[in-house]
Amino acid sequence: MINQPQAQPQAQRQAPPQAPLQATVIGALTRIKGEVECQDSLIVAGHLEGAIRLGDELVIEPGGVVVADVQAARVLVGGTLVGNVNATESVRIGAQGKLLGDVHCPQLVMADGAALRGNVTAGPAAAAASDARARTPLGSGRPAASAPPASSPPPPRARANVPTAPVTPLALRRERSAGLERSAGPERSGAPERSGAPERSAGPGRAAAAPPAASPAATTIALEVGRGASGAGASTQAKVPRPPTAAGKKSRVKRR
Amino acid sequence: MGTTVIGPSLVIDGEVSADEDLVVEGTLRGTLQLSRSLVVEPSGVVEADVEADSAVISGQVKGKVVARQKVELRANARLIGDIKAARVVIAEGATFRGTIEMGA
Repeated sequence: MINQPQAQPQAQRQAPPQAPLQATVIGALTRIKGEVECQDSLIVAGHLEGAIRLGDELVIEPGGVVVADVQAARVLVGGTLVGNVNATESVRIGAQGKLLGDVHCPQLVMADGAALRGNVTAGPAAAAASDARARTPLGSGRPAASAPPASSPPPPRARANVPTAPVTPLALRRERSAGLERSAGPERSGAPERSGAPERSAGPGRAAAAPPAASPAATTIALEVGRGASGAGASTQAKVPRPPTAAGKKSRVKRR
Repeated sequence: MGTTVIGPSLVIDGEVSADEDLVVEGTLRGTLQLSRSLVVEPSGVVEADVEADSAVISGQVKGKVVARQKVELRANARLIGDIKAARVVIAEGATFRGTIEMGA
């Protein structure tokens, strides 16, 4: 359906592999604010703010923005996700994907170019925890409330715990530095300009001078990353703010 | 794409605004603001004040429906609330309770 590679006509007639059930699609020009609950999967190409509870998969398309605590079986981040993620199966962050928030899941997969800031609890040990969390209701308003205490060792454990992830050691090292320090280095020329914005996070001034992002929401997020990076050791503790009302209103301007 | 689909098992509680067509097969509560058309399928339930260019309702709607163009209630539709639209079509078999304001 969305993002499906140009395939032969016969292949298109078959059901899309990503959406075995009848999927819900939040289109690119749609904004939703509130709680979303669903037994199967949800595809977001637009903007969704609030809380999400899914029985199956959440797919955030490139360009899609989700500002919410997410609970799902699988989460695929191709766009931007701000909020804590609790997945019972896996979390995958695509090359253009950005995730700001804590992640609890049995398996975390990050592509080269992906950005993640937050505490990560990944691996078989996290499976039990995320199962337990799956039964507690989502706190819609306080994304960081369910985070483990900041005093606990925060470095991402993705390296040790995702042996099956199709990631090269080099890419993993980059991800570690992405999670701890900043999203990526300037050498990552393959990354698109939008995801390049948070990478220039040496200080607030630099962040403010970041190139204009595609949408006001994305700009907000970029600035938040910049601020978080300029703070010293607390950088791994995700700050997941609601976007300022002004920015939210601005982005509501009709785009025809 | 150009269309947002709210699938049968989905429940949304809050505000929805869209500049594209919206198809509701699930449940939506809150407010709904569209610059294009709303389609409520037979399985769809909308408990919201709706603003749209046009609305085709086959499911259940509870709330005020304001459309710039047309509101159409199909045979199995059930609408409790007021309609304000330039044109209104109500098919035989549809249930409607409320007031209609036409020709806006």
